[in-house]
This record gives sequence, C-alpha cells and structure tokens, in this order.
Amino acid sequence: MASSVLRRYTPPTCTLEVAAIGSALSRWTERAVLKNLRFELSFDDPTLISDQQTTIRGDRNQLEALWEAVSGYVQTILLQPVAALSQSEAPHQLGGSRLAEENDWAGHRHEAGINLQPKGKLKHELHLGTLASEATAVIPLTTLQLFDLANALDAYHAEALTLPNLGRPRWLKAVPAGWMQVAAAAVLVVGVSVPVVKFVTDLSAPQTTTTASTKDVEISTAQRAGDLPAPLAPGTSPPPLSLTPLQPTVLLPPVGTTIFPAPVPGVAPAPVIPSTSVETVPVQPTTLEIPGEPTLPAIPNRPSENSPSEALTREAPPRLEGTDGSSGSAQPAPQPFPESSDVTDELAATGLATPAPGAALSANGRSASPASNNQADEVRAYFQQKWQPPEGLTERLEYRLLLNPDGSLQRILPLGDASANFLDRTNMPLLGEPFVSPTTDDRKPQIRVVLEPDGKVQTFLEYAN
Amino acid sequence: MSTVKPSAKPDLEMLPLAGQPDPSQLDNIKAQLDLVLLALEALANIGSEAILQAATELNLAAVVADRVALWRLRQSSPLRKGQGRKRLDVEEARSLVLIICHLAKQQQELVRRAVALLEQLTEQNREPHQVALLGDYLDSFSNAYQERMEDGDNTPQTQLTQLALRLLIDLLFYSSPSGARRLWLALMDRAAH
Repeated sequence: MASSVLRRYTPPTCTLEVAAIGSALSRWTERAVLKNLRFELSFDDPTLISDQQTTIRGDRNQLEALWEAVSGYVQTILLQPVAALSQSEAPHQLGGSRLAEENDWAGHRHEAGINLQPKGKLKHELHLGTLASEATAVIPLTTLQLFDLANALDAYHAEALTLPNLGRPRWLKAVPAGWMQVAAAAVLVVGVSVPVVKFVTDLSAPQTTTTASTKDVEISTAQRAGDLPAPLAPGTSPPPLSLTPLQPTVLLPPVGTTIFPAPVPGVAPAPVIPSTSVETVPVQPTTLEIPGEPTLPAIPNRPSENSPSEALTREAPPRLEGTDGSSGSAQPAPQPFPESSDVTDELAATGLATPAPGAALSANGRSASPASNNQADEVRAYFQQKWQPPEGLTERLEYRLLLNPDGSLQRILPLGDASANFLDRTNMPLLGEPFVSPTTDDRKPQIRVVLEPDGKVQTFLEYAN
Repeated sequence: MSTVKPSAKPDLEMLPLAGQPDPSQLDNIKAQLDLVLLALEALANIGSEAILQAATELNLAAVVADRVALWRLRQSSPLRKGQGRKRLDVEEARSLVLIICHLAKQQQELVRRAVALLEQLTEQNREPHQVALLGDYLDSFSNAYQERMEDGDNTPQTQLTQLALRLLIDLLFYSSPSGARRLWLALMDRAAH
C-alpha cells in the first residue's frame, strides 16, 4: 500500500512542499518509511501575477543538492569581508570572483549543477542546473527571498536527516509521466491547519532523533498539533464555505511589497499574504487519461451502478461527523440537504442555485451542472481506484476540493480532524498536477469527496463558479 | 509522538570547534561578536538588560552574570577603546553567539523589515537614510561605533554605513533557526582565514 507523507514549509516568500510515498515497510513499523521523495518549490513574489510565479520540481537528490547549494552560499555571504561590500558600488560586482572561488572551495557546485551567484549588493541568482525547465534556468532572488529559501530548506533538511535513502534517483524520469505519477504523491494546500504528519524516518533511527530534529523547525507550517483548530463537535456548524487564504505561520512583512511600510521602528505592517498559487503548471490534456474509466458526464441521476444501500449512503451526508465517525454509516431518512445556509448562499451568489434548494440536489446528491458533474465523476472514479482505507479507520473522511478550470487541484480542505490526519493516506493528487478534465466554461468546480472506511467513495459537486 | 517545543537550553555542542583558535583569531572573533551586538543594539534599542535577560533564558547566567561581566566580555574586543582588556575564552564566545542569535530571533521581524526597506531603496537608487528605520539605525550605529571604538573617529562615514548595512544583512541570517550555527561557522572560518 502506498501512502503519501508530506511536509510543507511556508516562509513568507516561498513555499516548499515535500511529498513521498510511504513504503510498504511501513506496515511493519510504527513509523512511516518513505521513498520516492519529491518536492515542489514555488517562489511567491507578490509583485508578479500568478502566471509568472516560478515553480520548480524535483526529486530528493535535487532537493538535497539545492539545500547544499543554498546553505553553502549563505555561509559564504556571511564570510564576505565588509570591504568587499563597500567596493561593490557598481552592481553585479560584489566580490564576484572571490565569491565564486569560495563557492568552488566549499563545493557548492553540486553535480546537479545548482549554484548561486551574487548579483549586486542585495540580489542573488539561483542557477537551477538540472532543476531548470525550458522556461526557467535562473531565478533572481532578493536577500529576503534567499533567506526564506534557506530557512525552508534548512527546515526540511533538519527533519529529513534521518530519512533513509530509499528514493530512486531520477524517479520522476523513470516513471512514465501521467496519471500514475500524479497519483503517487500528495501535497496539499489547506486553509486550515492539519496535524503533524509524521515525517521521516528510518527503521533504525531512534525516535528521539526525529523529534529532536524538529526543534529548529519554526517555519514549518501549520502542521503542528498546537495549531489545530478545536475539533468540531457533531452538530456544530462547519467552517465557512469560503476558502480562507493561507496564513503563513511566520508573520513577517513580505518581500517586494510595493508600498513602503510605515517606517516606524517596532511597528510591523500588516503582512500581505502572497498568493501561493501553483497555477504555473503546464497542463497537458493529453495526459488526462483516467484509469478508472469515469462515468459519462451529463448523467447525473443514474444510481444504477450502485447497490440500493450504496444509493442510500449517497444521500448527501452531513459534511462533518466531527470526531465521532463510527456512527456515520447509517443515514436517517432523506432529509433536507444539510449544507443549507452557506452552500445555498454560495449557489445563489454564483447563480447556480435552482429556486428550490432541494431540487438542486438530485438523488445522488449532486447539483445539476453537467459540465462540472463530469469532474465530480472523474474525481470519484479516481478515488475509487486509489482509496484504500487504512486499517483502524472508523470514520469517513471528507475533503473539499477546489479545482482549477484546467482540472487540476487548486486547494484541498480537509473537513474534520480525521480527514486532516489521514490526508496523507488518501492518495490525493498534487496541487496543480493534471487531475481531471478541464471544465468547458472556465469554471472552478468545488467538489466534496467522501471516503468511507469500507472503501466506498462519494463525490458531490458543491458549486462551480 | 510528542510535540517538541524549542528548547530554551543552549546547545553549545552544536557549535563545533575544529581547533583551538590562536590569540589573533580570538581577537577577530571578539571584534566580530561585539560588532554584531552593536548592530542589534542600534537597530532594536537593545540594552544590556535585554542581553542579560537573554543570558538568563538561555541558562548562560553563569557566563554573563551581570552588567560588569557583560561589559568585560564586550570590552574584550580589540577594536574597543580602553585598557585592561579581558581575555575571551571559547566558551564565552559560544555563549555570546547563542545570546546574539536568541536576540536576533526575537527581533527578526524588525530586522526583516529593515532589510526589505533596504532592498526597496536600493532598487529605487535612494539612500538608506531616507527612511526613518534605516536612518535611525545608521545614525545610532555610527554614533556607538565612534564613541566606543578606538578608530571610531577616524573611520569614514561611508565605511561605517557599509559596515552597518552589512551587519544588518548578517543579522537577518543569524535570526534564523540555524542562525547560531551560521554565526559560529562564520566566526571560525573568518578566524581561520
């Protein structure tokens, strides 16, 4: 069984997401054993529109090489004599040759070809080496961006020190591109906190190694238990439908804000949260082959493939079971769709709501939007293939998925504690990777996925705007 | 699985020592540490009280017990005016590294904002003095340097400005979780070269 384990680091100006496949060995140990680690690093420059944001991806070797290059480079900066700085009135000349020498001396030119060069007093160039794409070979960095990048990589490195080197080199290239690759790893963006996903780890490494190494990881996101929102008790109102923007855990002013913060010492400006969109992923519709042979679109009201009992459970279930999931299998008689207020408001706001809310929900719990039902069906087909309930799971997991018009995932919102806890076992696809068919009308469908402990999968189109 | 809170206890072992620095190397280290502290003081108005408080939080009160001890530590910089210079030993240097980085971390937001301003002004070809945060910092640093350092009065203002801005950028990196290691390695490498 392959499950994904992940980490996400979000200093103010970049986002580093790390995903890996849990090894089958995991079943023999209490801790996860990882392999096939891959990462995605996006630079969140608030001065650029999302299409121009840079995102790079690679495997574990490349991530290590990147860490090595950045860490070594930062150290050479700190070593630069002040004199070199004062001589650098002309940009691009900051002790260029000397720094290059030190780079060589420190061995920062990794075989992956990743290295950094100074560009004037306060700017730097990250040469991507094997991480380069056709579009991007060099990434300019400000000092703050370099600082954030170094911190994200340090945080990863601190946690990954005990990671066994199980990753096949060049994994990305070894595996045929396409669906299976997408399915292999999961990375999420969540508007709410998710609990610690146990990272790392080596069969032989003592537990204390892992925990001790986390002490420096202060920029690691919201994946600490302490940041968890209080679990919702059954019956309490669910979180608002609107997706909240990401909150970096380190509240610092972003780099490159065009407006000067008020220059008052000690008074911090309100941080502008940069969008962490990863919409730069080129989408190739040709790769959107879905092994699960999705059901045809525009046939929303056909429960024929389901047994009667399945049809019953496909009545839209409550969105949140809270932490009490074991009782969730038996549904009461059909009732008004529980997502009353906020969803209907949204539907009304987007013009999708039919006059009678109940009518918008067919027997299988979906609203009537044929184009987007296509996506809901494809999502269901995907999880029917991929969903392997972990042992010991007693409650259903629910996720709200916001799709991009190109069919890739824009955001994942786990509903409830268990859903957040088990997200790494769901084989959720990566954000921005090809997932389902593009919408025909540029809409962004929001789909709720329900994964039952008995292996059943349900999807509900909530709205598409 | 437990939630591990960052330990307040200093980990001197994290700051390795390749070899015993010779006196001139130690001089270099002392001078550098004193300068970084000077920059922190100038930027964040950190006084000896805050430094002593940090020492207490880090369980380093044995090394930096009071103002006199602190003054003697800082006075060990060869750049300082005055006589009766104290020898700074390696453990004291390590302790100062931890204290500096602890304070830098506390002031990270301020440091970060100052660097952001510096980047913006540089981008616009404007002088750093033109915004209050940087202007105040540069003035404060220059004054302190001129007051306390032997060559203070003979150092050109432009050089002091360069030094202050450079220390500001250094402080940013020292404010990170790996800041203490970075500062220590920089001191060691610098001493070795």
